Amino acid sequence: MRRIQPSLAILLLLATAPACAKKTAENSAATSPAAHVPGTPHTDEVLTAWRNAGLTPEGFARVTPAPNSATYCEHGLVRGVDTLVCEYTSEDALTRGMQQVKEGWARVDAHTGVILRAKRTTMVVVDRERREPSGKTISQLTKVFGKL
Amino acid sequence: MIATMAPHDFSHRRKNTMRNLCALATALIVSFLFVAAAQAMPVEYLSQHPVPHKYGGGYCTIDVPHTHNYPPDDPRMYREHNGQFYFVGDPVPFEYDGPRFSYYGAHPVAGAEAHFGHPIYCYIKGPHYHGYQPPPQAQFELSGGAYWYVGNFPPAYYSERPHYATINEAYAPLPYVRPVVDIQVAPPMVRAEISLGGPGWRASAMVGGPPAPVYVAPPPPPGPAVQIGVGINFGGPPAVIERREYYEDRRYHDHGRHEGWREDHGRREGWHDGWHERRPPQARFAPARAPVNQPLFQRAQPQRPGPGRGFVPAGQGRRDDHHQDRRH
Repeated sequence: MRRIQPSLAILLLLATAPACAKKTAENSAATSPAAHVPGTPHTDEVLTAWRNAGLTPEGFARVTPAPNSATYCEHGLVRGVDTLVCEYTSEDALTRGMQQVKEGWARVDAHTGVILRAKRTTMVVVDRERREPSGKTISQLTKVFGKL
Repeated sequence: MIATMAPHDFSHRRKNTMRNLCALATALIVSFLFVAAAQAMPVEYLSQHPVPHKYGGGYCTIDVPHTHNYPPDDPRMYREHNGQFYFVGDPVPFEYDGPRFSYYGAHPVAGAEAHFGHPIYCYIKGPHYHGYQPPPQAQFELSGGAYWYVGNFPPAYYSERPHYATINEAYAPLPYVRPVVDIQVAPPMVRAEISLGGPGWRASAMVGGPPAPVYVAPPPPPGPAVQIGVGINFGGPPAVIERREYYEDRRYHDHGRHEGWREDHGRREGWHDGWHERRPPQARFAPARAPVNQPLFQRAQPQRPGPGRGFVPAGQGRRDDHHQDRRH
């Protein structure tokens, strides 16, 4: 495990590249009006449902998604686990977005990764640091999200 | 000539050295990336499942498709399809703290068909737990404290059994408390299968585990009665197994082989003589953990106070009793 730490570090650096893009995008996103996608659960509805279920979404902020994928995304933490909620305008875009997320897991060596959809809204949860191997929080998140 | 060749040689050698260094660096980077890629290869799970010890152990309770950066600890407890794993085992030995439902013998796995497009079967023999209840439309009967599958098994069940029944070997060394099931009140159809050595059944309920002291109930009044249930002490807080007395005549004992869940190598499985009710003798059961490396069937002994003479370590003694049984 120790022997591959340098390579892991390289991969983590690679993984943070989109995050750099995210920072600059965040500024532009903040200036443009919020563009939720009609006909699918909105991000704020998802967060409200989680709060009502006793979960505590923290620090959720709008991020600009990759081109040709989601229309609206917010990223934050739920009990320390990275969570991303995105809204898509089309099935094609949703398929592309889900594919991109799964490819990303391979790059960052995520301990646990879940992607679920409710209509054209997705929730992505990534536990990179093995914060909860039993996945109890993730399980709760998915159960609530599945009911939307 | 030599003087003119020397600088050429030097630069040639230097070029070669640089080339070698570049090749080495490239190889190192490629191997780093290869190792990292191999490490990062996500594995997809379709159900809840045990977490391997080296990744913290315990039980992952996520029951939607998800990925981890580790493969299953023991693939015998899973069904694999297109690189996706579905856990079909008993979750209880893995710090599982969710709802438990007792089953006896082989049965279809609830919920698995949706992922695989065809029924998936649990091949665990004897009493065991799952975290799910049988769906209402499924052909199960709740009897004797467990669910029994009373439907028909398709040919695929039998053809796949030699491969998937290895799950019993995976569970054999795991020390944990299995449910106590009254097999005397098994549904008639299943009881018939037990007596015929039917699908997945083997009546000598015995699984592996570290030898533990066994409290054998005091001797009964004379007669061929054999009693199911063991009282076994172990380190933790005692788990009380409710008192149950079941009696059986076994004309064909296993001659001391006690093979438990292992393959029978072509020998007949199951009960050969069916079940006969007998007058229940007095018997007591100590706080217990079951089953372990002892058969669940111990000859009942007459009641005496305390563990006394009846307290013998597992793996020792009482074999004589079985041989006495055989003589009946």
